[in-house]
Amino acid sequence: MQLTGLKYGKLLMDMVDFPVAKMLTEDATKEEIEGLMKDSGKVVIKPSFMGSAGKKGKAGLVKIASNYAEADAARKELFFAKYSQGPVEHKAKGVTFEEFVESDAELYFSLTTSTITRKPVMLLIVEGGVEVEDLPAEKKAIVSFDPLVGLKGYHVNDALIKLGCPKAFISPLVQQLPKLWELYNNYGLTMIELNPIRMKKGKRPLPVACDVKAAFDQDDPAHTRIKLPPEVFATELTDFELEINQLRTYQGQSDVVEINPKGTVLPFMFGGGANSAATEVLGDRAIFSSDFGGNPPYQKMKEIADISYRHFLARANIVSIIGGKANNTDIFVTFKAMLDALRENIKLNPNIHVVIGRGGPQVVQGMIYARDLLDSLKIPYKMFGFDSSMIGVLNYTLELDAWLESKKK
Amino acid sequence: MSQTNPFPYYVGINSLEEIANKQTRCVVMNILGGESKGVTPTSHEFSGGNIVAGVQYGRSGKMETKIGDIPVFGSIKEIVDAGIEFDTGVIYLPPTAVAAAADELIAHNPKLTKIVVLTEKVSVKDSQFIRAIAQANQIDVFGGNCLGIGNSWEQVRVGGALGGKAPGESLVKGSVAVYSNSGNFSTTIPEYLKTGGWGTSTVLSSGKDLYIQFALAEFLYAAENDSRTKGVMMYIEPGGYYEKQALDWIEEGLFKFTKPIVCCVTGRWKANLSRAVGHAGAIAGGGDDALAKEKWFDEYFGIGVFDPANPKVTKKGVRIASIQDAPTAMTSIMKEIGVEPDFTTTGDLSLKPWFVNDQDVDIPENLKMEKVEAMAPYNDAIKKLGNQVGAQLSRESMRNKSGASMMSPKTQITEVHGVSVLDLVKEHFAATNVFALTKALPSAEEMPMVNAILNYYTAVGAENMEVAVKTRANNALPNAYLGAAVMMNGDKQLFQDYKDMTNTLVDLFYTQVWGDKSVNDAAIAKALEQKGVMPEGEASDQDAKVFDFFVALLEKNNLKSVFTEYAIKYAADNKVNKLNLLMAAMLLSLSWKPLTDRQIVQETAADLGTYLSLNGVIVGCSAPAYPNNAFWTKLTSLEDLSLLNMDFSDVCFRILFNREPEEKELFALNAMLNLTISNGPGTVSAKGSKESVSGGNPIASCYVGWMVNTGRDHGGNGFEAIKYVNDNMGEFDPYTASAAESEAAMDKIALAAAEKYAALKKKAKDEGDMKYFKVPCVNHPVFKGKPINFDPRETHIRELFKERNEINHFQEFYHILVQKLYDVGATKNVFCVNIDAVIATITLDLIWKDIKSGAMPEKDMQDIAFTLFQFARMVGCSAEIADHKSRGNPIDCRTPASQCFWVG
Repeated sequence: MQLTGLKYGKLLMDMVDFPVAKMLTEDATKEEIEGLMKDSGKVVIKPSFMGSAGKKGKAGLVKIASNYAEADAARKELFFAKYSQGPVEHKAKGVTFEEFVESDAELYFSLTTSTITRKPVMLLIVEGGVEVEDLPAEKKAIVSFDPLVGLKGYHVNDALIKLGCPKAFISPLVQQLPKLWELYNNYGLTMIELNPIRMKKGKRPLPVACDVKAAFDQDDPAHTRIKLPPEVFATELTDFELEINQLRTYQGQSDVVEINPKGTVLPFMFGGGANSAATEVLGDRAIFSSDFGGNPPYQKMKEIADISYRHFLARANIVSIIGGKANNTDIFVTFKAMLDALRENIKLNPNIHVVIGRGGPQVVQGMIYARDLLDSLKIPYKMFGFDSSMIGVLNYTLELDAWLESKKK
Repeated sequence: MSQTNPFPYYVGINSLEEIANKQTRCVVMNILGGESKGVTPTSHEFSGGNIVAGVQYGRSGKMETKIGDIPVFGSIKEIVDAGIEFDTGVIYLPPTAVAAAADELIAHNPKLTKIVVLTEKVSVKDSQFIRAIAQANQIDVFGGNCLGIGNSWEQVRVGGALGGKAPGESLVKGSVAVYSNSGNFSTTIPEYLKTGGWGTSTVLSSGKDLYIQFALAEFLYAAENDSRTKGVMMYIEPGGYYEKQALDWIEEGLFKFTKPIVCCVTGRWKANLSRAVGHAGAIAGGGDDALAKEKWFDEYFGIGVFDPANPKVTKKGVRIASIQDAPTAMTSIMKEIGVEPDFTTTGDLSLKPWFVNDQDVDIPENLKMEKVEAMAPYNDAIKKLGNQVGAQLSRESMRNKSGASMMSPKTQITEVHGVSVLDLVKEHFAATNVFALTKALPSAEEMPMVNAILNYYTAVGAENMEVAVKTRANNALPNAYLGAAVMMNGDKQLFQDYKDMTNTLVDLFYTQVWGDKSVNDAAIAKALEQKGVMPEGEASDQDAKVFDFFVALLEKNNLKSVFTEYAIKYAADNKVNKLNLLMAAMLLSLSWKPLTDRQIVQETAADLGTYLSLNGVIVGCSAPAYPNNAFWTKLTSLEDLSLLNMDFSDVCFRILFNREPEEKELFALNAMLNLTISNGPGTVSAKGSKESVSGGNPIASCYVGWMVNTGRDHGGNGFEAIKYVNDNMGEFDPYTASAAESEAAMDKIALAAAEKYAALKKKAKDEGDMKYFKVPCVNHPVFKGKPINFDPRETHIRELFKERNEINHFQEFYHILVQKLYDVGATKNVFCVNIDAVIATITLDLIWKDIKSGAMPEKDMQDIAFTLFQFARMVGCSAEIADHKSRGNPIDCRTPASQCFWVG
């Protein structure tokens, strides 16, 4: 759950009264845009992306215009801009017009959690728009602090002194930056990054957030206090994921990531280890990656299976049920749920094969139930206990899938 | 405790033995919660009693275990005040309560040294808080999302379900310490290691939250100091710098670590998913994907990934590509340092399918597999359980739940066993009697047998007529006098014999024929070797006659099965009531497929004869004019057995209406009965049946449970609508009028009725009376609000009539009426004609001639309308009873006192 840009980032800054560049959305009028250019004679135009789109500037997607005609042309150019970041393609939906903050200095600021110190950590740099990872250590201040105390003015002050920050900027920064801890700590954030902060010229320099990135903790209900519109995160999920996610509880049992909707193995994975191993072995043959462990009750497991079959059974060659030797998950209950749902959806694909690798409480009862039901449906199956290698079962699944796929052709 | 180790943060544990051992004393928070309830007793029993108390907020008491009760308190403070000492707190609470629980443990127990957090999805902020307070108070924390800690040497388990219900199976004493980011793999890895001859010292499920509170560096330090541990097996997933930090510290000499490691890192695929934005991740955890972690370990080991075909390792260890290589790699490494396996190997990890069936699909040779006998004790379990017949359902509270019927929230149409009642309308009523119990509609070929069985049960069910007559004479409604007849049957010997006979047939044949019920001489011969297996009895002359009738029926219709043939042959040589045995055999033939397909439980198959017998009692005792009903007399005398060949709904008609039906009447009756078999588990009739099951009654009493829950307002109210239409019709008879006359007359009658209602409504409203008469059978809480409204169930039946070129004049009258009600302003839009109108108008249609001729008194008219409802609901409620009996818990229909309200 992440957001980038000022369109929604401004909402975060406003929560704690942190100064932020003025901003208009894509429907801004000529007068409004010209109003934004009044002070500096310039306006910054950026495409609006949902979710985790970073490094837009490097992708050439940030424009600066000096008049309305240029700004309007940039709006048209960037409105549906696309760019790729790794395997992920981002598609813009609109633009923002942002105040060009005239400044002599830029800063980088972030707050997140360090797994090295197991504490919150502030990273401060008195330069903006830099490759942080490449900067030498002396140009970065990395400050871990006690979460029971929080980020205080002296943390910021010490860091700025270490970095040789111009003295005129220190006091306003010491005053403003600790507000971001309040935001981080009280609204369910796992990361907040302002890059850059520009020191707005004036009688007293004012730090102004000119770009915001934030990540939220899905397990912390505090983020819902911000009242971000649901579409901010919606595009991160596929229809299938969205439907399964509605069943999500704190006990897990319904974590899915769609891997390849054109895959041919419909895998029910149980447990974090099996999830990781099975996703790795099955690769893009897996339609999704899942972890349904945590002893889901019958009704929930059946609903999950039903959703999975409705979306993908028709195109799958194999239903795979894979997991290690369960500690707590009732194998009979989960098998019964998945197979009862299969029976109800079997018309979608009567040629499906089933391969199972599993162990745990009531595994024999579960497998016998599966055997009898699959026999009655005339569905071919192989079921392995936990004395067979899980990876071996997955490799067998792939070989069977390859044969079934070749038969189609 | 003063810290003697070199960590820049507090770590109290110096050796793995200290994490969990026989001296560990635990308190479990939320001990009576769902997860703990299943896990804690096993931990306690396995460890020889290491749980000294539990907390359940707002409650107190005890948790029972096989080795004694664990006291349960309302808070940690209460436990400490009671003088109970403990060093370890185990938290099973929901995520938002975990941080407070950790604080509570620390605040109230100065002797606390460890907290184990089982809960997953604890927020980062709360984990951060837990770390901060635990550090400040010098407490070691394990988890969150820790699945437990096992000490295989001392057979101790602390925390979660590691090792499942039989932790001793996985926690076998040995020399490998296991650290796993995955809870499941903390059990699976020890199982895999066993195949290489390796047992374990301590097994830790670390959890995989952002905060791993007891991380790898601490674990390795403690493993080095643990004399039991000769090597370490670890399973690592992407995210976090814990491993790099541990390996760096070893390299830098912060602490000494000399034991070999086998490490499996998975999750390369996760790098392809959308990543955290910005640079912040790079400082706090970016560059910590699976590939990076693999590199950290490879550099530490000084060798690439392990190749089982060419096993090369270093004394520091090796990385394996998947956990299946764990036993081989561990053996290679231990050999390198001169350590022998802990015990002889226990098999291997090759593919051994326990169950295989290619279902005649032509799979290539290289993909074919033969079934392999499962390892002990699973092989015995398969032998024992593999021959169980029928569905195996979990017991649960079935109050307000049903596995038999539901009202579709979208369509408001009831489904029974997943089939809409609209789709059942065209089926034979006899077929739905069976379907309700077996979940499978009999085939067309089986219908002669099904009809004959139900007709026979109707004939013999009439033996209870005297009771029904006496009860009716006391002004009882049909539900009561038919209920009295049903109640007479109790749990009679016949029902018990059916049950015994069916169960014996299952035992004799299932493992011989599996799902195939066709005649099998070899199986029959083998079964016949056992004498005297059926309840003893003798057939009367009458029974013998009926037996011969059914034998001929089976022969004629080619319906012989392995069971019926066996029954005939068994009866020839053994003392048994051959009719009862043949009935049981025929009924088992009907239920065999759903039974062996695991659609129904064996108990339902064994009780099928009981249910259908009781349906026969209801129909057989329902003839209002029985002394004058020649058909009833002839049928119940069983003199002319050819009557048993009739369609069951025809028999129902003749018994109830005392005349021969027209073909269209038969269709209408059959359709109406099937349409009304159920209206979902929430109806008071269904609830009555379920409540009686939950009270622990035999089936006949459960029938009476639903019957006494019907009455003037549930089932008996159809008469109100019949009377309303009949009164409005006055002298007009649509069946004798021409089409044109009928159209004009109906229009006139409907307009008059609408105007009368409009005036009544206005007057009542003017007077402030809201309880005025409402036109029955129009409008519906769901099918409303449009300019013209329809109830799809009523539409379905109307269209069925149209397809057959038939017309129910009264149903058509209702459609004119709803239009007129709108025209005269009595309704805001054109109301729908609802499903109740179908029942009322079909009933009126069926009794119309008798009303007009004066042959039917009003009492009979009322009784017939209500009796039809009893006929239909006996089917739906039999399904509910069988379902509740197979799934429910005793007394599960009671309402907890907390949900009951006193209104003084």
